[in-house]
Amino acid sequence: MTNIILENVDFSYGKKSVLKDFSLSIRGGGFTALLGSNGAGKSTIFNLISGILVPDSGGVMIDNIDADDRLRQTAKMGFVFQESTLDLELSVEQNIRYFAGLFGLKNYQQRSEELLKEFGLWEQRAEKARSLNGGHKRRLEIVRALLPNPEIIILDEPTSGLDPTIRHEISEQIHALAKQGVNVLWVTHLLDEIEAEDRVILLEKGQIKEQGTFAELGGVQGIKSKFVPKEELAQL
Amino acid sequence: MMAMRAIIWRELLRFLHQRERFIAALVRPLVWLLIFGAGFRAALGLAIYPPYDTYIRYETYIVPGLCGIILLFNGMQSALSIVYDREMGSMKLLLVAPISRRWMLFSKLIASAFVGMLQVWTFLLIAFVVGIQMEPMGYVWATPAIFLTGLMLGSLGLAISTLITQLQNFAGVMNFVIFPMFFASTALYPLWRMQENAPWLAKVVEFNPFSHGVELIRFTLYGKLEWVNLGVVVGCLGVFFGLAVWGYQSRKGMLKKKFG
Repeated sequence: MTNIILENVDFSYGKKSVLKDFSLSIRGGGFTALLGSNGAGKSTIFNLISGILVPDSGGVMIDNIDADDRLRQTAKMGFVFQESTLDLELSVEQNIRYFAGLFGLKNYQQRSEELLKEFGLWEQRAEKARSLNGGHKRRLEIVRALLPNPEIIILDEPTSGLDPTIRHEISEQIHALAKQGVNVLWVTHLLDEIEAEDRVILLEKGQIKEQGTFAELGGVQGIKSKFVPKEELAQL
Repeated sequence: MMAMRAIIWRELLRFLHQRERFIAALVRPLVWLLIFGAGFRAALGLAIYPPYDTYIRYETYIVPGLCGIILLFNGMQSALSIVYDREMGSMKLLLVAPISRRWMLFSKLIASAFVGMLQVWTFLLIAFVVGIQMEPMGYVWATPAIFLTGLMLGSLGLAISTLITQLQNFAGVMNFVIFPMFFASTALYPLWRMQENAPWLAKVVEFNPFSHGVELIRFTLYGKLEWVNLGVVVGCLGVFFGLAVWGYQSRKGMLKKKFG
């Protein structure tokens, strides 16, 4: 089981401090939802864990590997970003081939075929990414992220902009992975993507306000009533 | 190496998919060559001046400069595509790949220079067909010079891309980088001409790294090598690439501003 640990992290954009003496520990597999309103620091944490950003002070450890060894860290992880990172001019297969090259995966074809079939993209494999609908594009990003068999997969609002049915389907597929032992970190502000036994970390202004299972925190109503500012209720 | 191959493959595919970009890249120098060149032939007289052993037509003179402008535009186009990728978010995929930032940027640079070289070869082929021909071995000698100049201008583009936080700011690059570099160089007029008529401009031209890239291509097209040009091109390549690497470090530079 792979751990994600942030220890006493300080991070600021210029003079604006986003995280101050922030610590977070996600141990073992399972599904963890990082929840918070806009500006709570979710995406900054995502970027710190993924190595895109480096903390001003403090440490980010992935399975006891320090951030100084970023290449060994990222080899263990799969990423799905909020923004599309697909090359729309390339086909589904070409996007996968590009990714495999970038991540140094030599024998990826069989795994690619399995995942494309599992995520319902096999028929579209020769189509340009531009011609896929929103749900298929998201699934392709997830397929790519899973290609190296990562021990951790982190997803930054992976279902934003999708209709509820597709959001639900994708959420179910990712929950199934968590049950297989993959450590899933799902950054979101949508409560209906979380299941009762999921671990929830609730952020507010760069601090952890509460954590526990979704059921322990009172589910949708509990979280809404206790922690979410009124002006953001509508978004949830 | 797998990552580098993947980046080059993707840039080539992207280039081939953008036919308009290829055509635009060729139309620009061809207009200079066939229209501007023909017009200026009458106005400008060229003395015998190294690397030439005899009188040459003005069109022949500007061919290396036009190779340079293709590489300069290509370098800036690569920078534009990086800014675009960053703005759209797709740059993140490169940033999380298990390769060092330096290697990622170097791979991008090689890909950019390779695409630039393809454009220059096509241009030289068209020039050959319309009668502007160099010595056959000159094309062979010039190939590494074209690639090296492409690397230098590509690394300049990479360094500039760290300073541009928004796609809209890219127009400024045209006004403040491409045009001054091109016009204040030996691409269109020989240095001795400027020394006679505008000594201050001649000094600027001498210090312009683009001039050295153009001269490197010009001399190698005639099987000759000027070590100063080679030294300046390699030195500038190192400096520009170093600046780009510094700019793309997470702890400082533009990443912190951009992914905030």
